[in-house]
Amino acid sequence: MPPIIDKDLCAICGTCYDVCPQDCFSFEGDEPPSVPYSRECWHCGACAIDCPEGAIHLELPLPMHIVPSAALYGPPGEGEEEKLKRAAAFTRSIIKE
Amino acid sequence: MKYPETVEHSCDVLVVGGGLAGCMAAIRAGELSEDVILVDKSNPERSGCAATGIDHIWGYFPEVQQAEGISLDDMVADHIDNIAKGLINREMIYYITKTSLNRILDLERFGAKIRYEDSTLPGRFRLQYQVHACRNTLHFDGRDVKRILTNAVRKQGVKIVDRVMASDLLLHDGQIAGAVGYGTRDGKLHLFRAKAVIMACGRPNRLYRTPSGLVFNHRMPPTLTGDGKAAMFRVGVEMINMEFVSIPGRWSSKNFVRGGGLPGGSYQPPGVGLNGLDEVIRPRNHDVIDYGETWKGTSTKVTSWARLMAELRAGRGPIYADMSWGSEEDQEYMRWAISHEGTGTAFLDVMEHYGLDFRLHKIELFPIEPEHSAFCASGPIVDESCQTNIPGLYAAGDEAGGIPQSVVPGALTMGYLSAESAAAFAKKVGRIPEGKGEEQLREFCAEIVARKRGDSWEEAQLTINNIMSDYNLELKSETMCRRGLECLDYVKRTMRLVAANPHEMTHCVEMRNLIECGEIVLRSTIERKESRYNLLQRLDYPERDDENFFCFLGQRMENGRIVFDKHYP
Repeated sequence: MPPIIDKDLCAICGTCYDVCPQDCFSFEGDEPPSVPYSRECWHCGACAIDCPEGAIHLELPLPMHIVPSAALYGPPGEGEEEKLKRAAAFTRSIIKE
Repeated sequence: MKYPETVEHSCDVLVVGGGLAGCMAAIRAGELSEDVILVDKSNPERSGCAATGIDHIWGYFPEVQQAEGISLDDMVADHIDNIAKGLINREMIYYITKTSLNRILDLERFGAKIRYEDSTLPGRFRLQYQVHACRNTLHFDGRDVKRILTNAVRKQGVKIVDRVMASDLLLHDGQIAGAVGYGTRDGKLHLFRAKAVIMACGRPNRLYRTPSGLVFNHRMPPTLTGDGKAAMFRVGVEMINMEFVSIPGRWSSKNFVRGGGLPGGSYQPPGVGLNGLDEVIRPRNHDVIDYGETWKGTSTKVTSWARLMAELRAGRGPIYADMSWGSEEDQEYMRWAISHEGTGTAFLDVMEHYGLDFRLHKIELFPIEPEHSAFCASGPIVDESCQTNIPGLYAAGDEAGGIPQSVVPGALTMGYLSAESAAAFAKKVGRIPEGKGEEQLREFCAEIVARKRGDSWEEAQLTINNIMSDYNLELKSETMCRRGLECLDYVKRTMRLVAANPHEMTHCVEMRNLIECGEIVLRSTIERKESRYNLLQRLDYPERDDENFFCFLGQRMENGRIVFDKHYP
């Protein structure tokens, strides 16, 4: 059931049908697209990104759910804060303070 | 009337596949030739491996690298020795490394944002370490790079024919004369007559079972079914490295498989990798990297997939990426990077939809499906102009063989180079040759249309996945591969595919190409009687044999017979 179209928001423009790399959608031009091949969705999200009305979101088939797991690992130890800041700055290509 | 109905196109240069390589090829060919056609199985705006983004491109950035004492030759040597372990097309990797920045600047010219106010590096680039021993990888706003490139293709006056899956090539007197494809929506046969052809269809995905069991739950696009490689092989193109396969391809978030570098690394310096006992198995960056101003090293030492697998095998799984810590700025940077890479935007949207949050939840990681990956570099052997052994036929990016980890720079630079070569070739061809080669595809489709009942493409897909996974992965040996070949041949002769519409027919044509690719893979595996790196592990030849096999193993079809040749780089 991946791409879900909110029919109230859909402007019937066919963008999702145009861009879907897997060709999951069907579109006749006079009503919101349907998704006859939702089982072939790659979950790339192109339809949701390009929909000008923000009318599409992805829902996952059960085998693809991300099963929640609590993050446990805490903040850095004493004296590590400065080193972490330096590492983070390096990552963003900020070298000098 | 013959089925299917035929539509004819003609051009100087035909580009097959509209991913990064194909788009760049189409733009450059459009600058040099009058009539250029880009044909894509989907829509180039969102097709290929960069469909919804690519956030990094490596290259040689002279101002940055020279200040760190690294020359162009140093970077090329690093790639040849440490990444490809000597087995690489040396001329091509030099060209890719040398010209990658030029193609990045092209992307900027076409409208991509590649510079950042907060960067203190020359050019205001955000540069990361990734696979080389220096920081040479641009981080940028690449989510919409395919839309940007497609606009540039249109502006150049190139005709885009989308939703046509090219599946066979036309020859005239041993020279390329075009291609033939199936219209995935109109159900017609599209005949492209051309003076020169550039192949850029990427890797064969969907050959193996996926961990989730869902056929389309792939890291790289499941649209890619080796259509280009199968088409080339049928007309006698010599393929190399087809025996190499990454098992597993790499690691990703469990269940929701996506591309991208979790955990930590360039995304999230404060992130850690944890095992099932909450022990840190992948420390924070600053614990393993000395961040001097001339820092050198590769990211591989902090993200070793083998290390993660060893934890699983030692009974200390599962593996998690815990990216809960870090300043708001760090978290924002991580989300920015993920949103521009692979299916990252979808990943973030899905997390939000299901109430998941990096601050509160760690993400489980798991090995993904086997891949004929960028490390494998499987495809036709090409010369220094990207030409295959067929005159006028070129290959670029993941389609071409012999350049491991060329990835995005390989696609952009080889796309550009192949277009220059193809345009020059086309100029020398007087008129468009009347090639032959469409009958096989026409007959394949006609037989399926005539059938009232039979096997669905899904059944063929599962059968191919089972054969390739059972005979070509953990239990690989000559006898197993021979049995795999027998099974593929049985499927080919026995399957009676049916299709209710062009969408299903497209999948049927994909099955034909997947079987072709599977056969090439198994035959090459049998021929390379050794084990090499982590790309080929045979039970009957567990040792590496440099004396006999430090080479590209070429496989081609000649007068209906399979011929092998060794090439020494």
